[in-house]
Amino acid sequence: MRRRVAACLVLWGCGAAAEGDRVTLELANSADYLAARLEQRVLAPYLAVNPGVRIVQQNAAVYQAQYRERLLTSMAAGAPPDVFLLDNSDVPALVNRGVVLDLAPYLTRAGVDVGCLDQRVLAVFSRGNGVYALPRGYTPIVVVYNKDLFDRARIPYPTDDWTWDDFLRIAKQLTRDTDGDGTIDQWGTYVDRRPFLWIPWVWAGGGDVLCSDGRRASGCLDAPATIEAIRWYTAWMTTQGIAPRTHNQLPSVGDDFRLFNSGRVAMMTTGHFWVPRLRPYVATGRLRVGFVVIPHRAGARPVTVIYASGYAVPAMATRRKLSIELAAYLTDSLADAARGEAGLELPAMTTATQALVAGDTLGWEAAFVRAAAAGRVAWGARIERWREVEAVLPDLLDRIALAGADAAAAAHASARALDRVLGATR
Amino acid sequence: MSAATGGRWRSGAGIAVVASSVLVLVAVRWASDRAEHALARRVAGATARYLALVAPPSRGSADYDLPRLLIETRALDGLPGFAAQLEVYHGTAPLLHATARPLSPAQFDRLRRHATARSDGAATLAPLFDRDGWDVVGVVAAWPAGAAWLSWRSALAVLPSLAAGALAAATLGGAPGRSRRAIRWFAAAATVFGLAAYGDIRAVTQDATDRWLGDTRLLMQEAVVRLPELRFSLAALAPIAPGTELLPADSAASAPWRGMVAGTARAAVTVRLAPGRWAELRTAPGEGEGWMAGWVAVAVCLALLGPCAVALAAWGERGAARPQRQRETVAAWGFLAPSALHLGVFSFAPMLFVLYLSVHRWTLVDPARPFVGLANLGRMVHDPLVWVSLRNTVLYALYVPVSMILSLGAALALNRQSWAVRVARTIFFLPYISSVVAITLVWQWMYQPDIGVINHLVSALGLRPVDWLGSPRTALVAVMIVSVWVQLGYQMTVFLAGLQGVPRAYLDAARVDGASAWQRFRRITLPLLRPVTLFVLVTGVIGSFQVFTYIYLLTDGGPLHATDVIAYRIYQTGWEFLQFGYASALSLLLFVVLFGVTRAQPMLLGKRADYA
Amino acid sequence: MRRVGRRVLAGVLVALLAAATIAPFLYMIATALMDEFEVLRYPPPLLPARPHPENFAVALTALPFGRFFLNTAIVAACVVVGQVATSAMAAYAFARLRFPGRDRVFFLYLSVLMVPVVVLLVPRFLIINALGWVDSYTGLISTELVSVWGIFLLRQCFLTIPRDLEDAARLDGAGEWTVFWRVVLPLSKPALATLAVIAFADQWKSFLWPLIATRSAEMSMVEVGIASFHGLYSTNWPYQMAVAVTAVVPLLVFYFVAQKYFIRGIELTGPK
Repeated sequence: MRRRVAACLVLWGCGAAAEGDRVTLELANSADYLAARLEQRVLAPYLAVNPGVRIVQQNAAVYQAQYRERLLTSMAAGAPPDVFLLDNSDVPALVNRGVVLDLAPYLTRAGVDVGCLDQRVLAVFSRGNGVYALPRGYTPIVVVYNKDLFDRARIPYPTDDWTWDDFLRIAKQLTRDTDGDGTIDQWGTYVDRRPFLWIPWVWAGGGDVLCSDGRRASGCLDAPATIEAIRWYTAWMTTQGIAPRTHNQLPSVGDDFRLFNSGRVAMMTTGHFWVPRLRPYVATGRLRVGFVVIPHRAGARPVTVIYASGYAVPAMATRRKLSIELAAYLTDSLADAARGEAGLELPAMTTATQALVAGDTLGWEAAFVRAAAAGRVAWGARIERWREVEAVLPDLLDRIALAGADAAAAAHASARALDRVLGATR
Repeated sequence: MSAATGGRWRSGAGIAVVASSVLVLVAVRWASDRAEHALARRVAGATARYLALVAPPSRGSADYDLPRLLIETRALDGLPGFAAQLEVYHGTAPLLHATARPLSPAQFDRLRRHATARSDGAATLAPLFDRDGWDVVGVVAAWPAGAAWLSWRSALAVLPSLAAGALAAATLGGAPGRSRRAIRWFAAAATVFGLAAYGDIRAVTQDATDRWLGDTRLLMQEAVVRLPELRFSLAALAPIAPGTELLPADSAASAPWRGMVAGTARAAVTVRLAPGRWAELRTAPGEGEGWMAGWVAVAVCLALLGPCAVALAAWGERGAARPQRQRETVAAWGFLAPSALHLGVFSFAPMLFVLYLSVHRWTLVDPARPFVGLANLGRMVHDPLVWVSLRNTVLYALYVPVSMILSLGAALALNRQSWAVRVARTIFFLPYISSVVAITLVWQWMYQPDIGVINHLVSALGLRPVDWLGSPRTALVAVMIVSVWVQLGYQMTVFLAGLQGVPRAYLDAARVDGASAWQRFRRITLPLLRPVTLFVLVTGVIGSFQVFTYIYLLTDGGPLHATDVIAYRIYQTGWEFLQFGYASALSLLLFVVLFGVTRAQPMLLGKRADYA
Repeated sequence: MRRVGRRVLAGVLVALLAAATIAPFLYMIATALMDEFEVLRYPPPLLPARPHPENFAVALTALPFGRFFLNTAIVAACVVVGQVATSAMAAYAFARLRFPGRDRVFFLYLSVLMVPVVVLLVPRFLIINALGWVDSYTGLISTELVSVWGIFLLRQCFLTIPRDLEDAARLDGAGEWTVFWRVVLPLSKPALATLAVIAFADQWKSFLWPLIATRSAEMSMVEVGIASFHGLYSTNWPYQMAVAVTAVVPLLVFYFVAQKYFIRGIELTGPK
């Protein structure tokens, strides 16, 4: 820290010496207006001690697609931003192409102690000894449940060691027709067909969508455990009748959140990103909510997925020192604490997380930390062609849910399609 | 025609002939200057990184031990075969030539803050980082060698070109056949000259790359001599030349060579690490070397300016006999000039780039764009989704006639001036001007099957509720309804503009003759509206074949690819999968389809198959 | 009597169509006035229990929307002037002048429309980046100055104008520029107004190019600002709708006023 202050002072001296020749750093972020305001707040002290530096924040959110467009075009033109937010699913593609700077040699100079970071999250951005981004935050995928509905049905809250059988039993108890008009209006759970939310369920059932080397799907996606998991998951909606029929699931529709906050669905798969949305409901007494690990099939290990993001510096960065210092600043304990408070994700710095857990009276953060203990790196952070895989996977559940296909047949078809994408067969 | 005018054409053509030759020479000089500057920049960078590798740090700091840095720097001066002209500064103090002028503190400061190589007067300054690559402690300055002017090859080629040009200019005013032949000869000679000039550019850039490879090889070999442990670790040696590949090799060719590696052109040289141990240093060849680099086009186009000017002069001189026709052509190109220039830069050049990409592989973030030939095309043929999306696109385009009929009806009904009509027109235009992100959201809510407004209406009518966007059967129709809603007001506005061209006198005359409203519409309005109808149809179909935003925001291509259209496929392939080559090939497919469709459309609207 | 009946029928049909057209927009306004809980209720209400007009003030100050509106207005105004000028000139050449290869050149122009914009973005960005125009008005405006769509529209409209007036002017010895400026342009005011309005609207709601070609908030445009309410996982719908509704207002006024020019005031007389 002292070193950074010293560096800042030196820079400040330079800035005073050559006024008007300010260095402009570009910082690209996939932030919506609220997150952008938060980053602005985080940056304020940095700018105060670095008057010679001007930071241009490039924010673009809209489901992240637009952020990627902007980032990738600037990279294509050879004019990337000085620091940019790197989502875990872009790590393989960008790191393998050598366009992201390995920060490992500079970490001590920048005052970064990787020992303070959550090691599972750090692993997302590391390749061998190289560290390609300073992790900012992460979230495990968990189950959120409505405590009021549990209390009303006199069901004890789920614990971290619950299994699929427990889940199914509870969901059945919570599915009911509350007003007695003959149609069900309160559901136990909800079938989300977006792969990033259902893949952890497959994992928790002992299956997987790709084989461990990430080069093929057949033999894994159509393995009995996986098919069983997919069948079980979709059955909530098709045969068990514990989940409502779901439709268009683009985030802009927002059916999932509507159903949950109005008490029509008791348990739902989600991540830390729901915390800021739920807070006003809890604060005004509209809801009481708990989070718990995704249940596992008896005999399988409890497991979930971790999604993370971090600040990276392009390999061709010209002002390497300033860029790395900025990235370090944006991920230091103060910044992490501010973001943790805002609640979009768990901070990557363990001390910041611990402080967050200690200060949280609802027990939410503790549940997330416990869930993250069973966390695995997402497929997107491991293989380069994940986005192609992710474009094929929705068909699998759509075939079962919309076209009424059998889970085994659909899994076989999808596995073959994925093999083609991954080049396992020609 | 008077002899004076003919003379003016001739002298003008003569000046153009000389000017185009001079332009070519200027281009050669410029290219060679560029190559030398790039070389100086790269050598300065490599030298700085070499010094960072071999100079030991002073104790307790990342900065270098100054006496040792001085020794290492001086050693560079005596390196046999090291061609670059350099100066190394520690801070602002020169190390190599003790008598050289020190760097000004301002120069050093600027370099330190921006930490990137920059030109400063004649020299190129590259930052010398400390051992950790963290802060700038010094500067390596390199001076580019003088640029070349003219090789014997171009000198030989320019003479026939000039002679042919002079001959062609002299034939102006004579027999048209003779002058045409002379111009053709001139064009041939000028092409040869352009190619020769390109040969110069190519030779210069090749030479610059070779010199850089040679210098870098020397630096690497010297580094191995100084730090023998480096010979076992190419990874430690590679930072001297970032952006290149350093691979183990097993032969010792001394000269640099060129070849294709995995579809990309590479220039390479063998670095001798130890007796019997070699490494191969590969880099991208200079930008003037490849055929696709554009320098060929620049040189040949500049050289062909001469023949073009002479041909233009011949045409002008000949056309003086038919002044009206010629005046009209000149006027037309005058009217077209602004748009043609703009389209050339911002549309046709990008289109050529897309064409180029369609036979290459490009991940967008990777500077390398290996040539893959027709592989993208082959993949397209075997990609079932491409054909699904093409079918969906055609189905989707069917909304165009529907919205055209509705909007023409609205335009006819609202082709008046009154307060209510103005309000109605504004309402119809409202969807077109609303934020796309916001209206798609509203439509998603209205389409929601359980709680959406539309299904409430459907159930009120006693019909079964429909899962509009969620079912593969209805999703495309649902998107088409939104498109009609959006396009209605825009098409109505265009039809209204067209209706203003229908003289009321015709309609009044027909009414006097007792024609019914339908007859008046069928026999007078519709035929006179034909150009505008054609416009709405053609742009509507082109727009519908490229529909992307609504699909992306409403359904994201799903469910089960029911709304997967070709533009969505292109977007996903390029931006999400980072396969820009394949995306470009798909764009080419779309282009071909649209080209055919657009050509065919006038026939739908009448007998004449043209765009009148 | 029959004529009156038809009039009424047409009026009713138009009114129905207009009602269907405006309904989603009314829902946008209703959403803009809801509070954060109402908008996410299940089932969602059609109208807010109590309107929250303060949403507008909060949303418009959440980001520097004043600046966004100013940028958008400047860009749109420049683009409209450029497109109308270049389109009218090119359209005149295509519609009224004879020169070798005219139809081929026209089709070449049309071919520009046939390449999807999403693949042209990258090379266009490479060009403005090489010219140093990223994150500037120049970069935002320069690529849009010519619109083949506008050229095509004006060409078709010029084709519908009777030639007699021009021929008369030519007989009087007028040059092409005079014919263009004094005869054709005044006669095609409705078409020019149409092009201006639609070009303005297109710029006003353009999204992808401003997103790519700008970096700082100082250069951002309205539609990009509206999209900033779209988070990765959640969206502030009332705010987004509030800004979207506000963004429509200037365009509505513009369209309403410009209509004066859509319908020709002076009757054009055809050949007798």
